[in-house]
Amino acid sequence: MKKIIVIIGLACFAMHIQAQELFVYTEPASNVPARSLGLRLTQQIPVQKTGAAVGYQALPEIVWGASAKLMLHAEGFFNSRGGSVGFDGASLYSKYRFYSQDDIHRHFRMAFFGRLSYNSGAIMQEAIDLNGQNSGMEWGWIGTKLIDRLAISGTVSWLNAFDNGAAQTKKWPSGYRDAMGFSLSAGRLMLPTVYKDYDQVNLNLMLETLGQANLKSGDMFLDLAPSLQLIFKSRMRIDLGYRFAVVKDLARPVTRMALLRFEYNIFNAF
Amino acid sequence: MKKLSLLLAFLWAGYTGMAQVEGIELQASGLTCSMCSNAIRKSLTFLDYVDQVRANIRESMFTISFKKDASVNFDELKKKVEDAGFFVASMKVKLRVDHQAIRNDHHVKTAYGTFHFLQVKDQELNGLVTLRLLDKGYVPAKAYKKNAVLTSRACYQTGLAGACCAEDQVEPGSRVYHVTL
Repeated sequence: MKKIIVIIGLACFAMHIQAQELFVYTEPASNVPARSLGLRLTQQIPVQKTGAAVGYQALPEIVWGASAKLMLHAEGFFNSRGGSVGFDGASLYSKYRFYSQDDIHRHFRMAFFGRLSYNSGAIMQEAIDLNGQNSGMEWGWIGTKLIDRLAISGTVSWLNAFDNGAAQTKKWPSGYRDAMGFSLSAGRLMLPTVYKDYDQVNLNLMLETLGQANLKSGDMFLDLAPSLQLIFKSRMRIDLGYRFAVVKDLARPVTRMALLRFEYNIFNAF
Repeated sequence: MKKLSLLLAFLWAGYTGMAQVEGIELQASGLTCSMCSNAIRKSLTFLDYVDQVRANIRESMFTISFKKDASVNFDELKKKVEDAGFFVASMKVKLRVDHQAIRNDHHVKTAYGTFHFLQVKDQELNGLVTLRLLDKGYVPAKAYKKNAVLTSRACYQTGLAGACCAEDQVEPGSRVYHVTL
């Protein structure tokens, strides 16, 4: 009951914060433009951890707009376990926008997405993390509403973890490998107050709630993730985020993590 | 080659009056930020006959100018906006016209496709006129449904000439753009 109250409380809080929809921790239902390429480097730095084995993560990523409705991501996982940075695996993500209701300065859109991840690193936690920790698959639904300078987005997904490569022993009984993921994100375009040209720096503020519940044990985590985003020349992006656990029944060695991301977009790349 | 040129010139002359698109003003829907606006601008400039795209980011407006004697295709411009991830809310075409008679709910053949005039008085157009496209995908979905009362002809639904357009000698299957002043 307490968990539900926390979730509803955070959701209501998020609804009153404002931001645009280039969310830092989740994807909106919108896609990148067709024939464009986005080059990303995401770095995650643990701020508080209970074990020594999880360290700094670097996640290089290519984002491709295959068509107006379909986009694909390819991502690599590098992790500094035990002092040296090593390659742990990679992930493919695709998203298909199947519904759009657009008007001037507003839209409501929905999309399906799927992710397939391979990871050879040691499994460190009960929570499933397909973005750098686990092999597995995920599919889900995204709904995003844009109203002028405010964007609100929700995600519901199903995650299934595989074994992490042949060298990894089976960590969990098979029934514990399924989880439900959910998120609620809100963001607001803060600057510029009046648009004049493409060279103006854009500032977006965001607040995201990110959760997961194991379908067998019922244990869950719920993180709160405020972030700040700067956009330069209407094509380069820097994200600064901080993610911390509010509910932490589902075991994870890292419960507080900082994020730094660079992104550069190439329009009409093909 | 010379014969072909003469034939093309003859065909061009057959398109009475409506000779040249001078520019287009387009408003896109579904966006607020400058990165999205930039994506639309870049997408439009990918078309080789587009000369310049000037953007008003705040209003999501794009003023498009074209290269000389460009063969402008409205559907291609619309698709470029959709490729960027957005939609056309309004497209206004500035057209140089030489004494062209128009009638409400009737067609006029031009080099850019056939124009089917709606909600206009029967009149003669001359000089620079602005036409607003009313087809599906060129106005918000609600406006498209609302405008359906303006004509009973089936080409409004399909965007293609059918039996309904035969009295104006429009070739069946050819593209029909529904426009108003």
